[in-house]
Amino acid sequence: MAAEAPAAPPSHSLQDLLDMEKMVLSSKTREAQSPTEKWMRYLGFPGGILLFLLVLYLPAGAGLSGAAQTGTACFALALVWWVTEPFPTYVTSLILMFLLLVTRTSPAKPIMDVLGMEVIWLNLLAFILSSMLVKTRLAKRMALWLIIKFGRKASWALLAFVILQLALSPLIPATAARCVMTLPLIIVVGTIYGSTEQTPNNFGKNLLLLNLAGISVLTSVTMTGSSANLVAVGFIQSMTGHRVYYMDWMIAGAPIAILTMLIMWFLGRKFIFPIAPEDQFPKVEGGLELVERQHKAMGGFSFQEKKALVIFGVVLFLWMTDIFHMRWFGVEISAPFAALVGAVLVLFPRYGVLQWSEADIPWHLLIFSAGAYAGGLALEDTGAAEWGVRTLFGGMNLRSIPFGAAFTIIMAVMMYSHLLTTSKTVRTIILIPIIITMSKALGWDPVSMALPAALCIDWVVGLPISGKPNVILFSTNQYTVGENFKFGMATCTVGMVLLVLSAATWFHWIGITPSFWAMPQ
Amino acid sequence: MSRLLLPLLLGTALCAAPAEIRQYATRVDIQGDGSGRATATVTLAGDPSDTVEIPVGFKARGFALTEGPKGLKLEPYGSAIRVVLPPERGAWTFTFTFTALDTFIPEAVPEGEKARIPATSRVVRHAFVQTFEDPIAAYSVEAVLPPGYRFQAIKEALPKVRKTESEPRVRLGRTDGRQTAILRVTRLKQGDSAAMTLEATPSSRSILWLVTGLAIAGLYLFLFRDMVQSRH
Repeated sequence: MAAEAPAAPPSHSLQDLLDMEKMVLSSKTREAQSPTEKWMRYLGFPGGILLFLLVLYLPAGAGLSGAAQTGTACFALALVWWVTEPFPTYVTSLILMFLLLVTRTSPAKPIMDVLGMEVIWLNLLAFILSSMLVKTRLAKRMALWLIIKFGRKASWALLAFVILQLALSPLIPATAARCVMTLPLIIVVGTIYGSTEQTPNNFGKNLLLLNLAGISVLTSVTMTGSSANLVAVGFIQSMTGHRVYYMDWMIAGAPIAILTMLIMWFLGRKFIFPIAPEDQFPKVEGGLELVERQHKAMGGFSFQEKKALVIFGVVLFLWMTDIFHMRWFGVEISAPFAALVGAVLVLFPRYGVLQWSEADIPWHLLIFSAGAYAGGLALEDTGAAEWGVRTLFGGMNLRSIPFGAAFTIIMAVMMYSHLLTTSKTVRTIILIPIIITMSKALGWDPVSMALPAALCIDWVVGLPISGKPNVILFSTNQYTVGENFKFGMATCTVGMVLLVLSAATWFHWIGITPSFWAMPQ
Repeated sequence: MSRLLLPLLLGTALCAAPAEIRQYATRVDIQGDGSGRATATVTLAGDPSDTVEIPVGFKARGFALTEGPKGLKLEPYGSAIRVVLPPERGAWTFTFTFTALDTFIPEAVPEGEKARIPATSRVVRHAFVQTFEDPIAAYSVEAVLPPGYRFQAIKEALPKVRKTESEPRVRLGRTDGRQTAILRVTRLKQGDSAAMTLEATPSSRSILWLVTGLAIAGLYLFLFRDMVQSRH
């Protein structure tokens, strides 16, 4: 039997590629593609149930309540199902919410209340703003410009997005807002390079996952990058009396974050998802000249685009100036409410930009997030997360090893623990006080552990449930949970290596850490 | 005369050092019938022969001093106990036992209202109001469940954990194969309170989860086998 001829690469006209109205996010269920994925789905279902039963019937740990044990069992089941996808991720979230109720892990109200959480509102409103960028063709204009300026080669297009995320990170503290702002650009640029939902390629995987890493990792460049960073600084000050200044944080955090992103930019396209030579250049019939012609053909900014720019400017202004709101307005307008102002302007009758029916809101994604948050909150509220961390640290004899080894273990726990939580703030609240107390007990300066640990807070890149941008970018259906995990773990590992090398060298020279080989007092 | 009396009274008041509770730890071994055998250990410093009232935090009876310095006397006084300190000044550690009542009770469901926890569950509740005139430096109470029970959830733990504390207010543990819950508070001033409410359930799990889980998993493997079957 003759081997099947490989399918010819799809050729796209630029018009087809840039028809963003077709790229809706709101109705997606991804089909299993490879045999491995099909087997994962087939075995993932019973695998999740077996793990659930195993955790449920294991002898209870001494400090674990019944609710904490059932919560862990439910979350383990959901985690297996989210990764293997026997159901769409949002159905797994719904099942998780039901399980949390019937196993008596959480009462009904807190489970239902997650849909009213600030993060869900922010996601919802940010999608309305994103739809505005698509409908007014502002996203298309920006993407074309980006391609003309930086996109002649895949590597430069990818680097341009790293720089873009680096530039936005100190300006907009909400990672979801940053993600939604850049999402239309990401989709269009990916499409120009031939990566679509139907035919995702390695350029698309690199583009989406590099942006995901960029949004998260570059948040640790500045102390004000996320509210969780500020919570950590608060703990360090109140529990150790040491004040971490803006520049202290930046000096320690920025080099590691930026270097990690540059390394991932290289590793991603060379080794993790190698970009085929034919995918190195835009896949547009007629080449870049056509892109330039298309950009020129768009002419000057339309009235609708100008309106979109003004609305986006208002929201951006409110996001960037939140520190002054109380002084100016007598009230703080938080990130979701700034987006809410934008949504009102966007949907304003006659003078707005969108009809409600034109807003592309992926409700399935919000349900997925809600389930993940309900599970994460259950782990926190029942004390399961805190118990797990203490048991882990308690099981290691950190007194008998030098600072460097203890540092590596503690940073690894901090870095990779994001796989089991869905909130940076919750992880901070659980882990930073434990790390400070433990460092004091071991005789180390608590800041030497707590500050580097705080730098890992924002590195939530391992799974689609690990953070809001993860959920949003996963909605593009251009990579699997496994691919997300692969890229995310590589990012965390690169960060870990840099962090440990830093502790052994210049962190010590600038007085953050003691000698790498020092033994506990 | 009054000119002489006033400084004398003021001087006496200033010289009299207040009694001080440095540590107050109670352990309650809960029995299946709902009562609890409580042992409290108190370290107290005060003036010679001073009489102080110490709150107990339980509905209790049958107080007995089991260990303490010579001259120290103990007598129940409503919801507190009255301690007469020895005739010389110092700091003393003493232990007394009592029977704590209603420590392990089913939820009271008023007629016509829905139950909030299963009938097999029990509520462990402790509320301590600090009525002693000076601060208690360290207060703790440990509830030990009867065999065959485990804590399902911590419903309430007060006061809320301060920013400077890294430990949760109530920590679960195990002793002699029985699950325990320890409430710890430091620097309790007069009028402050410390409380915990926990739900306890029988520790054995229903086999229903196992049967249902395995049945659903098996059914799925059978019904969805076409997912991985070759079409040729």
